[in-house]
Amino acid sequence: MFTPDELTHLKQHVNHYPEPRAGAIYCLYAVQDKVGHINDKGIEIVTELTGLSKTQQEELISFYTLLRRRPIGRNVLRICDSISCHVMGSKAILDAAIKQTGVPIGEISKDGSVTVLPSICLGLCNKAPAALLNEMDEVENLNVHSINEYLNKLSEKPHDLNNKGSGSNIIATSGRENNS
Amino acid sequence: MGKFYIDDQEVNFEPGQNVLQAALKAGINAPYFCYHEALGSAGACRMCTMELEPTKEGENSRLVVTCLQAAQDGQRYRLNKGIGDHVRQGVVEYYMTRHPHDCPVCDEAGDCQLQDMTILSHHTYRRFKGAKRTYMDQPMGPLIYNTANRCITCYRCTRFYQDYALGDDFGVYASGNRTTFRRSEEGHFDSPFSGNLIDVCPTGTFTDKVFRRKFSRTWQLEKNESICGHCSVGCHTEPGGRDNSLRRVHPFPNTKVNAHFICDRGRFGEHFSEANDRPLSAQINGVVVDNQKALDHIKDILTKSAGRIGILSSPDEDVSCHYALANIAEHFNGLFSPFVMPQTEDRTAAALALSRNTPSLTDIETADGAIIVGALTETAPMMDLAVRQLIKAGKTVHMLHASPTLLADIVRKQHPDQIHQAAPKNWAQIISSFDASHEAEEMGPNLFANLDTGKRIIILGVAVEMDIASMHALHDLCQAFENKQLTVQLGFALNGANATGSAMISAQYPSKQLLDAVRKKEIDTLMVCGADPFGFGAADWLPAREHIKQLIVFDNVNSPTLQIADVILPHATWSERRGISINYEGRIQGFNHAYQRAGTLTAVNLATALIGISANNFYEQQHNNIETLTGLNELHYNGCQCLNLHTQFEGRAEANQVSIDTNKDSVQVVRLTWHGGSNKASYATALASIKPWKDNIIYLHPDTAKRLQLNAETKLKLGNPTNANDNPINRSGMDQAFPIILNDNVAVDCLALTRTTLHHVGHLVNAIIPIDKLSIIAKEG
Repeated sequence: MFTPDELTHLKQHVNHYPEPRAGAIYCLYAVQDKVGHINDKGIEIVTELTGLSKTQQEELISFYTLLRRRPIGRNVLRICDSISCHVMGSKAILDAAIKQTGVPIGEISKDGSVTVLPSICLGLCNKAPAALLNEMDEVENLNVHSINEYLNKLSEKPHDLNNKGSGSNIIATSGRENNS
Repeated sequence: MGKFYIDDQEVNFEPGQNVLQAALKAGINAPYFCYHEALGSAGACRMCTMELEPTKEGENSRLVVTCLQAAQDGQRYRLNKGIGDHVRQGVVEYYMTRHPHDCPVCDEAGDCQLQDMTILSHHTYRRFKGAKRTYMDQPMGPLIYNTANRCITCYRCTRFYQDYALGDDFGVYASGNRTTFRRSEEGHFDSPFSGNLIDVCPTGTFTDKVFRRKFSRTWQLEKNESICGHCSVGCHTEPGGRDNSLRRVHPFPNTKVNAHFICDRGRFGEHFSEANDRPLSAQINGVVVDNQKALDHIKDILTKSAGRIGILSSPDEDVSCHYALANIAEHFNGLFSPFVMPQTEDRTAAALALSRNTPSLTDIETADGAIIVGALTETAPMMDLAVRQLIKAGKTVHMLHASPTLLADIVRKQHPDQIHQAAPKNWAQIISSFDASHEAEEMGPNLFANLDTGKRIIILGVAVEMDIASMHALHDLCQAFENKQLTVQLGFALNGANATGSAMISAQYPSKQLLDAVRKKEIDTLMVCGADPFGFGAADWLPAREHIKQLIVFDNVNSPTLQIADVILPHATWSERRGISINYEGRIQGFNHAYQRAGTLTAVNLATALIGISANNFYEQQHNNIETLTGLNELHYNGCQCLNLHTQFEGRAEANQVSIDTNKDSVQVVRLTWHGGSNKASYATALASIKPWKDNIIYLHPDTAKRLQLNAETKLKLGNPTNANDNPINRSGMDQAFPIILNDNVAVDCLALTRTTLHHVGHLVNAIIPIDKLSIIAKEG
């Protein structure tokens, strides 16, 4: 899964903590960047790197919403359901998204274009109901009509193989510069 | 030492105690969920909230989570009087919004802390009308039943499982209102202490699955404090029985031995008494008869063959049982032995004689370092749990072992350099090299060189795996550390719950005498109680079988010996009778029956029926005997008194020094066992179903396989075993070739075999087999 260089880098990162388990989240992120989600093979590698058992890693992954154990679509859209967005009608937005994608929350739409997830407060309360695409692009002042349009646009967008999609891609950018 | 007040009641506290801890100690009925004496405070449940009165004018009273509040002199708390009560009512009401209200069908009901706290906090009416969060229950194997909806997220289970018992296959998932506690995969727990989840859980989320199959309401159980009969630690337990059957086992916390917990062997292994094939009626030549008729028949046999009688007991039986049988043997002019194998007797007595200031479980938990020799988890699991507290505290624990053991896995994970794997024949040499004042070569010399003077280290050995030479090496190692101004405590995990008591009695009734008499055909009538001379792990007895004309078996498991008996008598288990057991420290512990089992007999009943001694006279005589033997005046049976092992067993470490075979061209047989694999617990169906090892397979290290040129396509034949006198033994498995499984945790040059496999091949534990006696056979097809 990882190149020898990448593995060396991860080992170095883990070793600079007094407790190897402290480096687990970084390693899990690396797996996610590589595969798109954290798969069983990735968990085995992180076990070797940090000594955390499968259960202990699943604890982390299920606690942090930005770590994911299952594959996602080409895009991930997080629709806020915290208090401000809730009073502005985010429940209707989520329902509309379910209807439009044809699959329940958390699953990949049939054309593979998107996975819709609920999210805790995104800090976009002034533009509620709001959503976040691929952890980067803000989608503001949604209503039932605009969410449908937005999802349509995503499914029409051609699949770009070079675009890795969501994720902060820490190995490729900040991670390597700061740590090596 | 200071005092504070709760609702004007004075509470004394020690420095370092928190308010809740001191209040509970003072007997105040303070509510709590997540606090646990052994696991400490978490502040997760907010149930112990009390109102702290202002100390100065102008200040307001405030709410305090008392399990996180250090006790301070003069503070005044309001428990029932202030607004704390209102707050706690709200906390419980909140928990109940997620709880399924299924008390009528919940196994925990009546024993449930959530019920108690709900009543205590006056939450009576449900106002919540919303949807409850629900989870799928996870199948957790044959021992523990999970009902995830009942959880109130106090985190006690993960705090015990991961933080206290150092397990890593169970944890907490997700966050907030979705928090749930489970394993990553379905199936049984890996930890030998998983049963404690049942006790630490304040609700019915984890319940006893074995109990569930024969459930009884907790208030309808007959309970009593008893002693666990499954290893030499002798934990205090509370078996609960009803209608002639055992239903469940709980720990009975005792600060001297097991302060809070018990292991799964003690909890689920005791259910061997409920095995379908347990002998529960007397039989003569396969015909069921009533007990009186069988006793008359036995009396007849013993009277007729007086002078040619042997009575064999085992270290799994208690002191009263031994004394009663010894009385019967003497009455009929026969021989008695509390040990089956002279080898085991010698090792046990030597281990006790060489113990130094034997550490209790608390001593182990609070030491500054430890050396463990042998598979400790698999012999005395609770000692292992105590050692895990050392590992958790970051203390150095060195481990020397030959067969796979769970404790080694834990040490290896953190400090691979502190694991020493070697065949038992080399242990004596390796142990001597642990100390720098010897001429150390291969092993990391000078252990604990970084410890300051006055620090205390613990050395624990597993007697059944060690030869006497390596026990002496451990004893010498103590001296070496003491010379460096360290305090050393040396103890041994013994084979059999009452091994110490048996070794004490065996001074008068040596097993060699009985075995020799059988071999010389001086004995032809043998009565066996709790032992298995013609079954597992007793190779010396097998050839003697043909000399026995009458075999009487008095037992509570369907052992191979019982299956060939002429007369069978049903024996009561430890939970079903009165007795005295002496643990590895020499602690004398009496126990009484927890529940009644109709139709079973005790050895004292036998003595009454066969030689006419009344029970009262017997116990009086036994009391005097033990006093004389131990030199203790005013003997108590409550576990407060310990034998002086050193004086009691003086001179018994010299017997039969085994010469060490350092022959390089040989392999050594080591026992492959697991935490549920003791003599009796192996008959507990539910526990035995999760045994990790396969029978009739040889487990060995990849290097050994390479050396012997073995692979997946070949099988290994072990050849003729010989006993102590070099007589060949005929066994069914002698000509059988066994497939191999590679395992990194078996030491090099060792063949690890389960006790069933050992029984088939007839080899003894630690037997040394020259390589030229082994033969390699190609697999067919």
